[in-house]
Amino acid sequence: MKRTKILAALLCLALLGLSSAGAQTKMTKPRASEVVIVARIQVSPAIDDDFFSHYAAFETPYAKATVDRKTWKDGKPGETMNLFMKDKGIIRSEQSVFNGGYLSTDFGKLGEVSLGKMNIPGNREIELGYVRVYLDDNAFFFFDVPIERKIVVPQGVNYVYLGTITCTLADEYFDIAHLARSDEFDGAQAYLNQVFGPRAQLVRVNLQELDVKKK
Amino acid sequence: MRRAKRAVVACAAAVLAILAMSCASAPTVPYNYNKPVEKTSYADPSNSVLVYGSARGVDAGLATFLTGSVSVVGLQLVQLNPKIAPMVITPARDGVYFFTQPLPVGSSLKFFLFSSSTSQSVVTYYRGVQGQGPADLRLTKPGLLYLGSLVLCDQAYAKTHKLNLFAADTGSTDLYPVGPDKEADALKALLPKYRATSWEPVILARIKELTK
Repeated sequence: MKRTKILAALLCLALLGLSSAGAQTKMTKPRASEVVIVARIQVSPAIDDDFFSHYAAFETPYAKATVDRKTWKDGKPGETMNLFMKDKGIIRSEQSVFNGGYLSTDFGKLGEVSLGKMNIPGNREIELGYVRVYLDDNAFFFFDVPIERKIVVPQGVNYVYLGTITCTLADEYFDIAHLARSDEFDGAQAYLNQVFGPRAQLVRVNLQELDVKKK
Repeated sequence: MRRAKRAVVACAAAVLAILAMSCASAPTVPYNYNKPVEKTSYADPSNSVLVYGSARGVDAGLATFLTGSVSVVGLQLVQLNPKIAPMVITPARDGVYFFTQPLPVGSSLKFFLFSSSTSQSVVTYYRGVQGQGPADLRLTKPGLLYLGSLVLCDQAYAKTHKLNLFAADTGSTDLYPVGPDKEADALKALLPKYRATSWEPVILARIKELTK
């Protein structure tokens, strides 16, 4: 009888474990062949979260926002992002999406230090396309912040820093009036150490113009 | 043994309850797209906008003969002005014609989804909320607003009315107001739904003005 009780308890635990298996875990340390891209994207004026949260669960015959992306790793609502790269086979992410020649990886949240992990290609060059921002994590309501730059990952480096990209919006249609880049290296380094431990060392990289012919 | 069974049942019930509670925490929506807007809210032509038009696919001669005629089926708009209530708008359809409920002045509309359909396939365009396309308008003044006879095509077709299958510019695919449909016909399509409302005289006056 005791054994049955123990079995029942185990069964419960197993079921609970299964139900929480969907919850996201923290990013693991990059391997020698992987790189973590670190940046912070912010938008001005700030996005009206309260307004867009109303669109979180609309349902129509054509679109169901309830089939959402579920990429709120901390459980707190906000604008999630994907980093799109013009490259082949460099992404190591379960949430990678193929979109018109671009591949994407999960890229954290708008306004926070974002981390995107991927494999380092053979020539160590990564062509960054754009960051897609999903309003309130809604797969239908997104806008793109263009980056259109190439980076070269130095030898022996696993964490590269792009900077803080501030995107000024012109109107409610998310047209972009102005893009600016600034440096908040210390804050990003502190966050990186918090996530990956004290040995993680961030390195600044140059953002090079994309070769138009190659594009 | 029986008590053990009871324990199993109780535990299973507890787990199911926890699972059910975790599902029940989905966010609620303050509006429903298919519920008609209350007559009292936006029903007046002096403070709201009735948006209408027509939407069709490209008529491309031989290509259309091969694939079957293209029709635009799914049309969805989102309201983007944070000062106005959030809305996902699915226009009512009558053939190629479409029309919305009366919408509040100040709304910024964006077609975030549309799909074209042939006898063989349905293509759905998810466009997000960025950029103001040729059919995406701000509702600045009350009354009737005609979006035009919209055609789902790329920019080159919108300019030349010729479909080049080998140089299709999919990036610029949008609803362009270059079609052959008449505004009066669109009004006649929506008139039955607005009979005996404050909109009827406005609609009739506009039809009269157009067919003069």
